[in-house]
Amino acid sequence: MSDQSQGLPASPRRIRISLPGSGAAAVADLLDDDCPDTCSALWDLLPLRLKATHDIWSGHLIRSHLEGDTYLEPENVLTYIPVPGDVFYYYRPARYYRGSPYGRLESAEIGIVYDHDTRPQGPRGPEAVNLFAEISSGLAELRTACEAMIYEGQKELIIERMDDP
Amino acid sequence: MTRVRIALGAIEAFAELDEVAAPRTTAWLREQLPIRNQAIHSMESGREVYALLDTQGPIPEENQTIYQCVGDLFVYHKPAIFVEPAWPRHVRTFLVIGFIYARDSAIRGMSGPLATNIVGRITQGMDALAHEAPRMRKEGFGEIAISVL
Repeated sequence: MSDQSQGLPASPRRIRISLPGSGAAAVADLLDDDCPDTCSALWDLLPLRLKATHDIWSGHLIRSHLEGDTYLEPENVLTYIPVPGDVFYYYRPARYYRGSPYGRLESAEIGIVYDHDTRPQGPRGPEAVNLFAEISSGLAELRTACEAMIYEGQKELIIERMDDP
Repeated sequence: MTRVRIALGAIEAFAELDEVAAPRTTAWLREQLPIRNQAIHSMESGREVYALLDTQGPIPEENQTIYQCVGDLFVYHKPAIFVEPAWPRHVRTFLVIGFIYARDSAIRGMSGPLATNIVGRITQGMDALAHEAPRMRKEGFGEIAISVL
């Protein structure tokens, strides 16, 4: 039975991840087979224009808060140690951490891992995250821009559809 | 007791060196001051701000802990991969001076907690640091200067 006969796209849906202020852009393939509900929910939110901040707990990753009601059920939440190019969704329920980090009682986030030796974690330790996409091209340029955020502060992040299946 | 001034961005704070608990490290540190360098926010340890020191030491293992508290001023060797974006493979660590500005933070290395030499306590201006560090994290980091009063 083909993927198309099961209602799944034959080739992966792709998203463009860009930091327009730096000129960096990457392409990521959605992991529809591993987390179809997450991919579809996030796909429906696109395009997204967010503020990205460098993480302070986890190593080489940047993250953005999703606005509004963006809670997604856990799906493909297996990854404690992502690799460069992994893109994940993470939800922090209300009062999971002390206070309201980043001014938010609860938070839904997208994280982008840009280099090795990264482990998503917060004040309570390592966190498994919902891996939903993998960057297939442009990671080197994105890495340079993400590293600069440590010194330069947050940047605008755009996530948009590459094409419709 | 030696007092030092910490200037981060637009604010200043003051610390007292702990010359009783860390006599050799604080003596060594006094020789390094004043310092003025790029302030950097931690990417692996939580709410930590640090600066590179222009030396690799050596510093003794003295007054060390893996349970840093808000206001602790410390020095330690930070793994190079968390300092240099393009990790120079021949360099394993950089000697840094840093502080924790909010709770639930702990200095980490590649494989877990990292002991740091506590050299003093920030006694004045902690709230200002706790406000300035997150602001600079969003808007871009400037310099940090530490000097003996």
